[in-house]
Amino acid sequence: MSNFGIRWPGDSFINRGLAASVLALLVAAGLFGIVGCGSSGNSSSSGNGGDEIVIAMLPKLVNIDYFDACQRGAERAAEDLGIRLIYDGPSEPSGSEQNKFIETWTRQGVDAICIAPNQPKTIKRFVEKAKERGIKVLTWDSDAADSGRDLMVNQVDDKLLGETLIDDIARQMNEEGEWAIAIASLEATNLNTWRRYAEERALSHYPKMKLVETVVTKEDESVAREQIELLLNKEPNLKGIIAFDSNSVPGAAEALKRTGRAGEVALTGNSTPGRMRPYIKEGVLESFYLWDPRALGNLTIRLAVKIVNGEEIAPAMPIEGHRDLVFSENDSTMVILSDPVRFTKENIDEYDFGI
Amino acid sequence: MRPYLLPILLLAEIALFTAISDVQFGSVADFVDYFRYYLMDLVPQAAPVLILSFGMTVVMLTAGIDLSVGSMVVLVACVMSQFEGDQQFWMTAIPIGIGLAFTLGFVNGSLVAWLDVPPIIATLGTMMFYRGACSIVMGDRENDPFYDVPGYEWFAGTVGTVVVVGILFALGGSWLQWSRWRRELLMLGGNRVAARYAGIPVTKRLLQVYSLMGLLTFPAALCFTAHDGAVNAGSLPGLELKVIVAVVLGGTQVEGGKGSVFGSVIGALLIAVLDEGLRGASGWGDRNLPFEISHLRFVLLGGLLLLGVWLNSHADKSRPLNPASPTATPKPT
Repeated sequence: MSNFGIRWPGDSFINRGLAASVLALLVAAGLFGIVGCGSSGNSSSSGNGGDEIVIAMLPKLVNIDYFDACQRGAERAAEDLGIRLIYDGPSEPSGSEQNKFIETWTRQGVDAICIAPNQPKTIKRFVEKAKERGIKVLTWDSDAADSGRDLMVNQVDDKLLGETLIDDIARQMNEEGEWAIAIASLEATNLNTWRRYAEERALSHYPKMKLVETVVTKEDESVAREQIELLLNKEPNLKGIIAFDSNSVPGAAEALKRTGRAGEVALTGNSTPGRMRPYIKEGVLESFYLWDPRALGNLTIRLAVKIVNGEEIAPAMPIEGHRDLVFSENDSTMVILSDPVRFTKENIDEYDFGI
Repeated sequence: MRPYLLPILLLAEIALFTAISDVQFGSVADFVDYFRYYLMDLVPQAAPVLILSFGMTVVMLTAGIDLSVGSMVVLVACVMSQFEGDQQFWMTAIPIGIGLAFTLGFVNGSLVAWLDVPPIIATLGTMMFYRGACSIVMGDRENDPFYDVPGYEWFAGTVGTVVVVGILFALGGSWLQWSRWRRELLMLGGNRVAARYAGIPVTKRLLQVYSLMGLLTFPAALCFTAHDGAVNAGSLPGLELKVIVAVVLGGTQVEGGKGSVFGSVIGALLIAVLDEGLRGASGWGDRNLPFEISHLRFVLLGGLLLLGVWLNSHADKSRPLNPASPTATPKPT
């Protein structure tokens, strides 16, 4: 008899092992029995059998302030409407982890799933599976247009935001000189749509401005700071930076501050007031933009409930606590939350977005 | 570890998480139905970890470790995703994927066997190297040719993954269990010098072991890309850690000289059930816990790992014939 390893198949241990396995099965069967009885006795708070509407919401990742604010808005809406909200997601911005959540919720038979996809291409099969089981699928924050989702809730008109950002930076640069882009990834649909509109407008409206570099910052403030510092050293003639996500803007602001080029290089973008307040007050940058993320979460849940109830989502539809519904010009399944708010030294204290 | 402890732990875990998941069973049929879907989701999700745990067990028998498995899987997937998704994919991307997987493993093996780099350092280096190579190959894009390859989806299904994993463990596992090769590895892991004196070709065996690990990243990449349909350079963060936890839970000793691939199967399933259970229980957690239940993920994973290690050493002490020295001779075959 060998003394190594676990003695599964094929040694004298097998009889005792077999007996033990049978015992294990019996124990488990007993446990299942208890669980089964306990559950069927208490069917009031049922996930898939009861009348209560259950909506699952999947952010790109959990535990970052932007999505935490979205969660608070969603919870408020769920409370108002008397539905049950499941808000959960991966701890890293990973597409495959998100897919597993979609599979779990599909099996549990929730009524609607609202996804902010990290990798828009990878959710396709999982959206199909959910829809096969009669689950409504919405995307929010970032789109997966080819996935077959029912509705996209967009925080902002992509074209409007992209053009607003480039107009702002152009004004600060007197419409001439070198500028650069900082962006979390070249894959996320929302960020790159804004980037595309900004680039297009720069080409058509501001011929004297030259895009010299696009820096990828991986949703990470410290990566953004390092990358922008490198960029600033490399490009002594740089006059402006547009940063397209909530981590790149503070990262870029910190880089400007540390290299002493604040004021010389203009910066704008979209980020959260909580993090930008010190930089705005110090005058590192003049302005940045954002929508209310709580309103985004709130509107997403309200629309999901309407879809689950079989209501038609139509333009100019009144929604409690929001403006009448506005659709995107290019996509009839995309709803626009609001116009972006411009934050400056003067108005930054007037807003409380919870982040 | 006593072999029956693991299955009991697994069943208890399933029962616990079913109890706190948001599913109610009106009838026995509901119950059966739920578990059918449960297994249909669980096995394809766990397939990469299951496949890799086979290779990792073999590596650990030799007192080695391979931290680069996650990076290797993603690199193989990234390279395969460069090809067009059509019939040709089977003739181009697949052989290249197999070749690449083997090569990556062989590089690890060379570092460990020929250059005598400690495995943890060698594979830590290649882990970063291969992950960097993914970014070079992919840039920041996300590629999805896998949706369009005819027949590819089979590897995403329950049947496909069960067949792949089943063949690997049934044929590979039972061959391994009775092979002289495994006994040589056990001896090598227990005492390398003694193994060399006993006439075991240590260098050759190490090369074989790491190349096998590399080769197995191909089926793992196959199942992963079929399941997810798309890949980018950052896919599958932390996969190598899950595989190592699975193998250690399954009763394999990190110090080498002891272990079984069959234990690793249960170890991998334990992790998959834990992961899946926490996802399913978020509604229950919201009502009953003062914090979000998903925050428990790493706490429980770490706890499970420590429990596994403790059970291992505990079981050893209680056994009269303790293989303190693995040179207590493999049977000549």
